[in-house]
Amino acid sequence: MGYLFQHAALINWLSVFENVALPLRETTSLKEEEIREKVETVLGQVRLLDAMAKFPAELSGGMQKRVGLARALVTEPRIILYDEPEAGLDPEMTVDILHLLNRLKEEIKPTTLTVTHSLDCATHLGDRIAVFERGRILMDAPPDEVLASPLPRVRALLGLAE
Amino acid sequence: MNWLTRLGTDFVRPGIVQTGLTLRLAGGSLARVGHIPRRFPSLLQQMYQAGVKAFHVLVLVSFFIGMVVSLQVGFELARFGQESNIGLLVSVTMAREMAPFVVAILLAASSGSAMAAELGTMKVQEEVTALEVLSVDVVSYLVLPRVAALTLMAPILTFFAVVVGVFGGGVIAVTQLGLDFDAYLRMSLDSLREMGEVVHVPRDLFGGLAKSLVFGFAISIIGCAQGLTARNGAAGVGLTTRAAVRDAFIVVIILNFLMGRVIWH
Repeated sequence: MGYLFQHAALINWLSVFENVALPLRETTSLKEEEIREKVETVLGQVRLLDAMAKFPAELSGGMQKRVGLARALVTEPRIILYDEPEAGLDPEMTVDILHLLNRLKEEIKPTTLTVTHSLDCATHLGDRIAVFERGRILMDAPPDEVLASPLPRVRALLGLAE
Repeated sequence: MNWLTRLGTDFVRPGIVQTGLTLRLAGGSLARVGHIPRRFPSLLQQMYQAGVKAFHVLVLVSFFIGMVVSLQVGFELARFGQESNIGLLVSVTMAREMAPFVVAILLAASSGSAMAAELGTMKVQEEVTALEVLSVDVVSYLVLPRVAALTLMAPILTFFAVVVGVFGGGVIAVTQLGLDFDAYLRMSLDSLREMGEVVHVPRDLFGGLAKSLVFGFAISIIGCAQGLTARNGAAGVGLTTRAAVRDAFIVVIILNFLMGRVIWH
């Protein structure tokens, strides 16, 4: 399982390359060339090949998130958990990361579970949306049905109530 | 809530929990000693941080401690015409007690607190959780290099502290007590060479180094354990750093007594 943390949670003293290579170095017996190849492939997918030698502190919030995503993808997980992928990003970066996640969904086809407070993010990424309140699922349906829901509490939580 | 319940929930229970975590981390680190070759670059970096960067402070402090011991004891001995024995007293005091203790205090205040702050910051920023999610062995990756580095560096620093302290004592012996430096040094070295009865090694020097090894292990384990239990953001990291130094001081003082009792008496 891959996990994209809300605030990326990159290891500060490791470069972008080292951060992404970390799970391969620690949990597999791959050779250095194989690790380099895999890391460069995922960094290419998140368009960060140019930033390989940089450290987390030198990156913007959006770039840090993309490194976190590359780290989540490098072990080729079948399931990926995105924790608030748009949190802390400005509108332009939010659109950027949502497009990236959508593209990866088409290319890699993993099962993804996204936790978000953003209706925009949920409708962009989700094939199904579950609306939670206090640990209870109020509704679980495809995006169109959720948006057209007549349930007052669901509409209120999604900001659709008039 | 009465005072007895509060005493239990606020002090006794957290203390027991933290002690348990620390002992578990100590066991986990010892169980992973075989991973050290894999962690060698990280180990060297930690040894540099803990040892080389603290060296100049240690030299300064040890030199003055050697002078203080020589000054305080030397004038008392001079009253009985025994000042020529000052070399023995300075070297034995430095080797048995002062050098291991000063190194432990210095490492607890610098390296132990740094470990707690570093791992604490990683913990509150979810970096430790990220490592766990990535199936990285946190004890092997983060704790082992720090613990091994401090355990190895503490005796090395102690050895240098003894050497510098003996020289500091020599300065006082020559300038204040009017002794010959060669005679002072000869007596210091002769007393350090005295062999143990059970283990056939120079008893005072190796006893001090053995104490230092245990102090280094304890300080680093306490620092790491405190760091890995940090919570509540920056304020929490501050609390764990303070607790790491406080606990390390207490444990070092208790271990110093217990090991002194076992080694020399």
